[in-house]
Amino acid sequence: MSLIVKNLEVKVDRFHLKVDEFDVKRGEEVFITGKTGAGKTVFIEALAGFHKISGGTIMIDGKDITHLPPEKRKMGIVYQNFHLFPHLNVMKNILFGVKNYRDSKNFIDFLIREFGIEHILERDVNSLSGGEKQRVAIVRALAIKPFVLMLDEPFSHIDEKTKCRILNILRQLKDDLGFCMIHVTHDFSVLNGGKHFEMINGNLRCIQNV
Amino acid sequence: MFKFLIILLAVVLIMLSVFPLFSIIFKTNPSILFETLKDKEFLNAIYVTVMAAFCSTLISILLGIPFSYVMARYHFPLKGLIEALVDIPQALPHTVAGIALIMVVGRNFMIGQTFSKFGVGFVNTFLGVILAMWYVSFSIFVNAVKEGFRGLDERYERVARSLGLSFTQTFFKVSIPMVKREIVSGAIQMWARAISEFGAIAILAYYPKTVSILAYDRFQGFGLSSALGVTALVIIIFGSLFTVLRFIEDRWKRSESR
Repeated sequence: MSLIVKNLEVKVDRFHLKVDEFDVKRGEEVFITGKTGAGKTVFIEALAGFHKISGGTIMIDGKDITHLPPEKRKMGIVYQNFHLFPHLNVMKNILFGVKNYRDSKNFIDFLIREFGIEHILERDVNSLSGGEKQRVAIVRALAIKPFVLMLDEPFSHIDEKTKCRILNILRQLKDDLGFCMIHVTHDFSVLNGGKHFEMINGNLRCIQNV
Repeated sequence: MFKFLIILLAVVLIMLSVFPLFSIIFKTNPSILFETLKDKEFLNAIYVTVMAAFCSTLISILLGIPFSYVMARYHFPLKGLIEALVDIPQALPHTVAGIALIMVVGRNFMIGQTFSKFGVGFVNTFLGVILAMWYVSFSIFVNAVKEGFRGLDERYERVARSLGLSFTQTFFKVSIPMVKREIVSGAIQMWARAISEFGAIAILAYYPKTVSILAYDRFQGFGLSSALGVTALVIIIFGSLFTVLRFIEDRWKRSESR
């Protein structure tokens, strides 16, 4: 499983994003850093299918997904503010994208246990702490068994201890399940020696390739 | 001192708004109220008003939600002009709005003639009342819902799409539920505005009579004392109904935000 991006061009209003080359392999974790407004979020949103692509290709396992609608890409996304649906409780948020609960039940129960959220499943999402919201948002994104998990600074409002614990679980799951993880961050402490890209004014450049 | 002044001004506003209403109610003899309650023309006017306002609100919900979504989410040429055009009926004198409507759906005009071929008429019909109510008040609903969609972070919809939901599923499972407060609030405000409409209805569909037409009719034909019964009952019935609806809406909003 690999995600390969070549000569990608995206225009959002007056912002112009250009990515010559970007690739992530199965089970790999890559980091994208850069200043606010540099285009990091636009890039992962373009990968997920939320922006019109004006040039280049996005391939998953050799299949061109450049113009595929977002719902067919299996790319989970977790934003900084988690975006849990406030009209649904925790369990309904988790099951939101699950097509067949019977088939996925064991996997979802496993995720719920791994992230330690068994006790909050019936809770209203508005009553959760930042750490709880984050774990629910990650479980929700993983519940659909995505090819790629994209994290857009979801650790920025979380204390250090919780951040380390969640990252360890995520990295273990990434290795076990084999999804790619794209980590957009300002926080250099989350970097673990994986491939590191920097976004500068809409241009992505690789600064560490392992 | 300033705090006292603010409270005083608020009290003045409340007095000015409720005084005319209560003065009519208290100056009307209860026996006239009971007589009016038995008046078939009055009861029919109440029915026509409530049903026509309900239908016009329903039409706004069906057409207004998609329109508001498009206006809130997409950018396209002449969008500002379209938004202004939608607000125009609200800004016009409503008699003018009624004349504009009659120029479109009147029997001597193209659209009116086309409808009349199918036995559908708007002049002096229940449909005409619905159309007049809708035309002058739909922008209240549209603007309320549009603000709701504008305030809804697009990332909720993006998360839903990334989880495998199509655009349509996302619209019904995320976008609509997340602006339901604005939808309910806009619908109540629009319904109330539709009930109070007079000018456009008087021009397009004087019959069947709504309560606003009936009150005017009685006042013009028989004088103030004759209109008092209808007026007082309209204030009591619709005032109570609107207050109850706003109270329920307020309680619901509070329980939702907890």
